[in-house]
Amino acid sequence: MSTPLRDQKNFRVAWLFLLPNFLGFLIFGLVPLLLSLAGSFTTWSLRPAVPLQFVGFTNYIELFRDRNFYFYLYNTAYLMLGLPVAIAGALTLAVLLNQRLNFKQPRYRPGLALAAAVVGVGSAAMLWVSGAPSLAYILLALGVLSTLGFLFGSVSYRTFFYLPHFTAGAATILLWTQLYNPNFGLINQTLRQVYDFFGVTWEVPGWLTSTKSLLGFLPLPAHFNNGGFGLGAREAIMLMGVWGAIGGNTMLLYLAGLSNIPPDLYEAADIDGASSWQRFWHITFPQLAPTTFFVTIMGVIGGLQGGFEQARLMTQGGPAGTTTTISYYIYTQGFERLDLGYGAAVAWVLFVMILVLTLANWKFGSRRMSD
Amino acid sequence: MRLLLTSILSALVLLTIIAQWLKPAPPQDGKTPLVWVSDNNPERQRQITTFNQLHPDLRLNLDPNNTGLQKVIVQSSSGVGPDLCDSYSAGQLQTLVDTGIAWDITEPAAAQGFAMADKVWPGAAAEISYNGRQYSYPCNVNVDILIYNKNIFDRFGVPYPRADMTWDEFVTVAKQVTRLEQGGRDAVYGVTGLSWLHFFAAERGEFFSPDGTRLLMQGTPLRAAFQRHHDLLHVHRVSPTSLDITTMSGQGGWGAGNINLFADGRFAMVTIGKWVLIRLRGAHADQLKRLARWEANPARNPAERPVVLRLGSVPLPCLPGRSPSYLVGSRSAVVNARSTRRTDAVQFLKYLSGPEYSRLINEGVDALPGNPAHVNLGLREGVPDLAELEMHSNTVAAIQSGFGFRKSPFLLTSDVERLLKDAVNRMETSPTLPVTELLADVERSLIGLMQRNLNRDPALRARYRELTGTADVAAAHREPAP
Amino acid sequence: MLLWQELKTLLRHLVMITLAIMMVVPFLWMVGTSFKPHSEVERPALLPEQAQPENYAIVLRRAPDPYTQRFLDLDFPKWYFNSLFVAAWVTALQVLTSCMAAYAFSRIEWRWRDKLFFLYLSTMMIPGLVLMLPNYQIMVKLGLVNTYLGLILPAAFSAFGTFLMRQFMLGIPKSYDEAAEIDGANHLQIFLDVILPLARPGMITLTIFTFMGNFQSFFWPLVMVKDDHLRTIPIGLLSFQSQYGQQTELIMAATVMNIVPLIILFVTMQKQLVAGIQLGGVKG
Repeated sequence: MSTPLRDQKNFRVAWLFLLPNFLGFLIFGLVPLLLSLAGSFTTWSLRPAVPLQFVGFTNYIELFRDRNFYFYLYNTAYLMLGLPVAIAGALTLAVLLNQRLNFKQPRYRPGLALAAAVVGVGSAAMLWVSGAPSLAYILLALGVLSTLGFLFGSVSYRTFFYLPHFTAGAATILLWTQLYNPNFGLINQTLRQVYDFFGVTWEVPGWLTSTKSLLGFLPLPAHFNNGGFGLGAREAIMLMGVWGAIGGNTMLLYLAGLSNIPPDLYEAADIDGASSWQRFWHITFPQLAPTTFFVTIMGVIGGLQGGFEQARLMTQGGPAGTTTTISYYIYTQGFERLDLGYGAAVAWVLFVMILVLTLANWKFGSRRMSD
Repeated sequence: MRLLLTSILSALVLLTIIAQWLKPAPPQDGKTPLVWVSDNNPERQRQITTFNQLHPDLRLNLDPNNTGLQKVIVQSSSGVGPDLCDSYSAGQLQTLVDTGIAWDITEPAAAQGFAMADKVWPGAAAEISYNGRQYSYPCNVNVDILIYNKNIFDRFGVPYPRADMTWDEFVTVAKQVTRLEQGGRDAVYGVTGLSWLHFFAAERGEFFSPDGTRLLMQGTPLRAAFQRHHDLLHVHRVSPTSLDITTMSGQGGWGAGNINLFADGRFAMVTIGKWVLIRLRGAHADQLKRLARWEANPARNPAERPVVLRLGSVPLPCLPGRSPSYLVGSRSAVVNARSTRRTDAVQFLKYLSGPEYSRLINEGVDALPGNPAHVNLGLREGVPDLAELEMHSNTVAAIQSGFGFRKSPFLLTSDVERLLKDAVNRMETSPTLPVTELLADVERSLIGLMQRNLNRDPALRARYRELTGTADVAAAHREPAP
Repeated sequence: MLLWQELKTLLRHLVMITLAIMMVVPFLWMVGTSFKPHSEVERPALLPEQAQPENYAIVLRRAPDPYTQRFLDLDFPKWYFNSLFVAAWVTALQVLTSCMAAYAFSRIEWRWRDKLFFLYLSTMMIPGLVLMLPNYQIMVKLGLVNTYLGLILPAAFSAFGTFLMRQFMLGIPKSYDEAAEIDGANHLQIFLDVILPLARPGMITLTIFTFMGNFQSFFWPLVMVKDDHLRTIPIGLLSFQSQYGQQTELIMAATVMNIVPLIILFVTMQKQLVAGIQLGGVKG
């Protein structure tokens, strides 16, 4: 069927479809991209006094000599350890949400909803009167959650899981900064009570003020500011990221993917008497491969560029640089040190790394999908 | 699908029509518009209205921003910057000058009568000038004082801090009011807000040699200041780690949560500027409401009587045998050199030095006005519990001994601040790390950055060579400064 | 047996509820904080000791700030309209252009297709920060600074959306197009009548992503907007932050008001998503 004439026609049609997007891509994507690439070989600076000169690979050479660059790269990679957890969590949530949530007996649904509402409101009211308003508040919320859950099933749960996404931005940053306050934050206050209850005298984590990390037992170079083994700023940011990501876009993508799996595959498995784990492992997971592929690629791209907002608003890249990621480093180099050429060079080194990872992912992913 | 696309499109068109209809018509009053990029707060609107009343031919508008410079830099370097913007520190001013944004207003300021030589607190000169040239005028001027919570001192039976303490005596006092053994909700720390910077100021330290060519990271003042900071946290244990203090230049404003915690009685003392009254007045009002509610309750429990804040203040301590010296901070307004309306914008700086604005500053209990002549205009007693007038007079007393650090043309002060902040964090988290080693590390990194600046700018390199005889920064540091 | 199944369903609900409460607790904190007076914001308690519902009125300029007795200088409804307006246009344009581009990348065979697609992908691999200044200078050249168009256009064409839609469309069997082609449909008809309806779950997913993402976007509007009447919510929230700290309780009140309509929108979209997926799923 493939004739030169047809090829030409296809080419024309394809470009008609592509044109609107391509124009935008050209002006707002490719042109700035090439400008920044060119800039990385010059003395591109925000100081007018610095003459714009071509300096070849100087920026890149300085960058590879900059020992902090490796530290920040390590931080970036470390924060990305949250990625598999987030993806696995999102997948789990999606699979859970996709299970049958309506009762066979139609009366159970309103009945349980009513029961949840009554128990929730009732116990909340009792606690309120007896002077425990915070607990009452949580129980009330629990009552409302379960009532909505029993009534509307999956739609309510999805909305609850997606809630962190609505509140992104300044509010989330404020929220977590306060939760993590080592002396007075909710998390450590709770931890202290738990420790007291079990009679242990452990030290509570320093969270955003600590340079400890779970990989702190490794013999890292001195300028990595290793605070030893424990929970520190990086874990705090990772935890916050996972909390936001689990119920977010990844979960939605998995849900969309799950509903595209032909039901007859499961019927066949049921006839064979497969366990639910076998069903997941031999049908669900392979069928979701395209979604996993997409999510992984986007996760790697986003992860290597990540950590900027958190560093800028929560920690200023500290303590001792432990939450400075490559993207925050680009920001400080470009907009604080005014050295845009150097910042661009960092960005392009990052680009090459992402490109290599994505290509590997692509090769690996395509092979898995064609299996 | 076609129906869906059409309906979405028509909805969008409808929205666009509404948007056009909502768009305010540009005012046709012949006034010259001025845009001022600054952070927003409830006082700003009054300040702007007063300016517009004083200058009927101008119309000043606020364009709110965070306290970062990115917005101004991106806009200005693309030629569409605001007419006026704020500099929050001497370091930011240097950045604004180096990016060519800040206009040298030395001559207009002299002509209009708001020159830094006689119309600005001498201690604030470093905040508004660079290489002896004036680039801005203060919107407010701040110097930290020691504010203490009288309730806590009374509760523990400790005498209030004296005005002429040394830092060593201060530590003794702080230890007496630190109660950590109860833990959890009842813990009281001696002090918050205190950092190496206060000790460094007391030593009258500098980051650079007089000609700006050499870094003084390994000098005695900085080492001593770091050591004191270290001991405060790890030996005396009177202060929680200062991550939120060292990020005071952060986007969320000054050490966000600590002020409320101080008002709540979790810290006995705080080293801070008198502007904190803006926040403490609110906390005090809330506490009074809480008290009224408690008193209205017939079944009230005397043990649960809400505490109402009572404050006192003294100037910060000094070092034995040394005259006091304090670091001055300022938010100052800069005129954009590339603005076509920059001569009109200068009127705003003149306004900042005038009586009307100074009155507003004092009424709003924001630090001090930039012009010493108007320091007491519009001053009120305020809330007696908070001893507002005492704070004011202590601030005025302290600013007489105020100063600002020297800048170097070869390195941005913000680079020094960032690396020192990292070093402080390292010290806080690794108590065993020797201070000398930390500072040697900082110096090495900064030498690298200075070298990079020289490599990129031939004129700068020539100047450095002229001053030191070499363009190799590391080599220059191996021989003592003149 | 039936009872056992019902119990299993109940158990699933309980697991869901446990997970949901974990995701929702911070939100509860946010709602609680929005009712706190300023001096209680740092206390870890979820609820205020002394509720101050005026926070909402303050944000809406129905009440003065309790500490200064002055009305704040802000226009929350206008911010809201602007955010909605910009996000709606961005979403519509992005979904449309992404679908069209994805169609070209997935359903038509042509030379350099996959190479060009990888070029598209590669623009996502460079941190947006370094593109900001060149991008901004282009906007200055186009005269779009401080306009709605300046907020909408740069966000309206996305490599991400193209990638997402391409993946979705790759999953639609080739036989659909071929059948339509035999019936004499041209590419435009195939796109509108065959592929788009089948790609509906993808479109809705992209709509949600784009809308939510754009609603929160901060940096670009920050440098792009100069006038009051163009401010979006994230920029407007700066009115509660100053040199001397932030009014957390007002930020939270504004955020709560901000997200309630978003939740409603999300729930309706979700219903669409479920319906759309079943449509695609049965035939697939």
